[in-house]
Amino acid sequence: MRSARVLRRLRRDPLFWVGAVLLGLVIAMALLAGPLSAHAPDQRVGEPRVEPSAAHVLGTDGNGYDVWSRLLHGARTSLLTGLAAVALALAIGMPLGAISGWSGGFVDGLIMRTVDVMLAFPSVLLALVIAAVAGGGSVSTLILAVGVVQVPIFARQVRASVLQAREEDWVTACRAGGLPAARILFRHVLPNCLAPVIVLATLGIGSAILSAAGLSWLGLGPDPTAPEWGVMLQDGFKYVRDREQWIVVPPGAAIAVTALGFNLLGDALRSALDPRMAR
Amino acid sequence: MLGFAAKRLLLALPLLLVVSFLCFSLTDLLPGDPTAARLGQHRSKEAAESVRRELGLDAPFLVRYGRFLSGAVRFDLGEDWLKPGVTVSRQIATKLPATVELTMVAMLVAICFGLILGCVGAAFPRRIVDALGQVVAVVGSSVPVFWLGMMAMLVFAVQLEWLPLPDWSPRAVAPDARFSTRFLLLESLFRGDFAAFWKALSLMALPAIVLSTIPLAVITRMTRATMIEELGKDYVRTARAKGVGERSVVGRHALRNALIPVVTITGLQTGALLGGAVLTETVFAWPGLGTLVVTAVREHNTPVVVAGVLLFSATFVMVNLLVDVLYHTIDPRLRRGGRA
Repeated sequence: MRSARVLRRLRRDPLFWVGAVLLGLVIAMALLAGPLSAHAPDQRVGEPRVEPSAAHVLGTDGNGYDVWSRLLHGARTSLLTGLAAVALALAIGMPLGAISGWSGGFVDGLIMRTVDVMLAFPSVLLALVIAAVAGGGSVSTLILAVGVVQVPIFARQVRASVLQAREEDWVTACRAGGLPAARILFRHVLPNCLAPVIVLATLGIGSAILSAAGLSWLGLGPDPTAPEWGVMLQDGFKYVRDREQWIVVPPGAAIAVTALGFNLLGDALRSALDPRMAR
Repeated sequence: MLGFAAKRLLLALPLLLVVSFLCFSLTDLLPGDPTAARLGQHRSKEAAESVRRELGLDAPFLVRYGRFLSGAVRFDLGEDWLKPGVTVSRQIATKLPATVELTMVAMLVAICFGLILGCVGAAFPRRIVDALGQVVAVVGSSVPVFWLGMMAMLVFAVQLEWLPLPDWSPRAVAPDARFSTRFLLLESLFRGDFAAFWKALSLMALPAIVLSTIPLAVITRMTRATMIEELGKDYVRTARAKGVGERSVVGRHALRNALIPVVTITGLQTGALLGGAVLTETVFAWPGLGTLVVTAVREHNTPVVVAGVLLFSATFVMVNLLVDVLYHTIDPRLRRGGRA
């Protein structure tokens, strides 16, 4: 009943469709990366820094890799990084927030002060240090760094929702019925708090992809052979002054399109779930 | 008012303490080794040991943290691992002005354009200007700031040659003037050297505009949303009924009330702005704190990383505190009833 209404609102929102089409494009790139690319993404397949031509649709980069193949395979890495980072943030942040909001008192204070401390760092900087400490050099480092930084967002939101839900009559009914607290919290209260979390998670994937690209552009991501958009920008950046824009335009545009897709989708979800927040 | 500010400051101190501890312990895990940088690859064990002792690295963790903290409150942040004899405080003092000027100008640009775009959008909802503002807001939060920097450089500096390639140094700003500080923009303005000021502004234009897109997006959205809400309220209808001009209704009556959440969001954006400054500075090779920290992280120059991250976080905490106090000043309802 409620979900039908949400879906109807989504269907009528043009921005939802724009976001969905953009994301569909990126997902198609990721799925069809193999068949659509003529060259291996991580091998020297031609002269370095050659302009786009029939043999190399988007030209080659500073290592002689094919830009188009790397762009397609990069979609896989990016989507994976974004999804995994948010999954990590959810896995840590949701239980923390739920326990914090449910138990109150000392536990609540402890968890929330920890979250405050994490929020006192500019997130890019915190992710930078975490990535450096974890050693850098791989996609999983990126996921860890970007994911941990997002934990406070989810912990805070879930805590706020649980605090609100805790006072409702049906929770009292559950308690009176003798259900154990953990069961009430994780089976009944938490599922009712999911709507805002879904919105935040969608927006979070977009910002995770942006931060991960930033970190790997700074050299804390996978090694230069990896087909990853941030890595591609790192290479292309060297040739901006030589007007070799074909190396640097595609990966940046791809990051922007992906992040825009998730942002539009998140905004559309927010207004569909809560019409009072509508633009 | 002052009591409230003092109370908030007291609450911020333990937070800063914990932040410093986290900073120190996190960077302590960095895989850096100062002996390699100082003595080269073929160092003897004894020499390495003596360097470690000299830098106080042989002490237990908590002792080192205690030393760091007692030094930090006196602005003594230790010695650069890679440049023997250079203190970290000195490094920061030379880099800080460039970052302060860049972020200030970027914030100013973002606030001006954000308020204008948001107000115009709210005053004429669903018209071309509004749509434009909305597009700027959504795109601004989706385009990676470092890529935007590259594109801006490519288009405006390399291809069109409208603006110079960024080179923030006293020599580039004014070849024959001597600067006594590193606040190149401010100093040339206060001296009345408008040629240098103009040059500095043109050098700063690209990075500042690029960096401003981060807070700009959020400020525009927030202004628009709160302005639409305020414009729908009764007092606005009353003002219009009295015959107050539309410009005055939007600009003076509604905007003043809409500013409160906007100020908060602007403060919260400082963190994103500082983080964005790290990336923007790296793109434009801006000789600021961000570049310093990124280089230090790459080189495992731990003392510089700790100091840089701590400074960024402390700034963030202090700005939030300032916003909190400001918030209480703007909103008279909060001034009496104590905590709200």
